[in-house]
Amino acid sequence: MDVPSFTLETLLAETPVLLAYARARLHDHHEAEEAVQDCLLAAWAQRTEFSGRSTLRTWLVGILRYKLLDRLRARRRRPDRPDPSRPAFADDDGVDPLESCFTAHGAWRIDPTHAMSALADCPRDSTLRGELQGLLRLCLDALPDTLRRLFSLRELDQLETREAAELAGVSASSAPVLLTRARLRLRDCLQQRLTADT
Amino acid sequence: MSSHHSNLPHRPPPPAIYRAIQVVEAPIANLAGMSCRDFARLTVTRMDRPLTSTETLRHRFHGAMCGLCGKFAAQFESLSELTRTLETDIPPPSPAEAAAARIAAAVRSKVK
Repeated sequence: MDVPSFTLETLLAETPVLLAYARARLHDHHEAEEAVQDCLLAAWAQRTEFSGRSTLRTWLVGILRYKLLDRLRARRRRPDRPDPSRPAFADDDGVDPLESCFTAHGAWRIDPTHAMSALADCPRDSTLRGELQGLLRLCLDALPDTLRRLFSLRELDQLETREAAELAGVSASSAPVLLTRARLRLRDCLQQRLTADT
Repeated sequence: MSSHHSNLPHRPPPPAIYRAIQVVEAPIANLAGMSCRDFARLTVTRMDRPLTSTETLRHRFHGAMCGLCGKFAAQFESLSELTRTLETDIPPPSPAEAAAARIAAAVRSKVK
C-alpha cells in the first residue's frame, strides 16, 4: 500500500493521549515526551503498515508500549542514573490482604461476591465494560507506586514475572507476593466502589 | 489489617447458609489444605505462575464445590481481562498541553 492511511495531522492529534499514557507509565515527564516523540516518528515511518484493523490509537499505543519498555530496559542498564520511578519500597505495608477475609479455620469472614456480579460476568456490553474499566483505573491509581508499576508491567505489558520484577526494581523472589497483594487490593477496591454504586 | 475491616460496608458477612455449612466443613477442609483461604491463595497465585498438578486438582475440586469461591476465581479472570484491554480506552489528557505542542513541532521538523 503506497498511500498512507492517515495524515501527519491525524497522527499528531493523538499526541496528548499518548503523552498521558506515557506519563502514567514512566513518571518522568521529560522521558515520557521523548518516548512519545519516538513513537510518533516510528509510526509515521511505518505508516504503510497500518492496516486499519485496529483503531489508529490502539496501533499507536502498541508502538508506544514497546518504546516505553525499551526505556525501562535502558534504565536497568544504567544504574548510575537516578531513576525517579524506582520503588522506595516504603510504600508497601507488608500486610497480607487475604488474612482479614478469613476465619481461623480458613472460611470466608466476608462475602467476596457482594456487589461483584458485574465483575465476575466480565461484561461484553461496552457501556458496562467502560464503567468497570473506569473504576479499575481509579483503583490502579490508588495502588502504592511499587505495586502499580509491577502490576502494570505484568498485566498491561504482559511481561513474565521475572522481567516485570526486574524493570519494576523489585527482587524476583518478592514479585509474586507483591503481585498477589496488588491483585487483592484491586479486587477489594473494586468491591468497595461497586458497593458504593449500588 | 485488623478484623474491623470485615465490618466495612463493602465487606458484609457471607450468606447464613455458607456460615452454617462452614461450622462443620471448615476445620476439616483446613486440615486437608483445601479451605476457602487455600483456594483463594491458589486463585491469585495462578495468575503469575502455573500451579503444580496437585495444586490444580485441589483448586478445581474446591472451586466446583464452593459457590463463593467459584465466583471469587471468576473475578480474577475478569480483572485480568479488563486490565489487558485498558489501554484502548485511555483517560482524556489534561487540556492546554504545552508538551504536546513541543512534541508535534519536533515531529514535524523531523519528517518534513
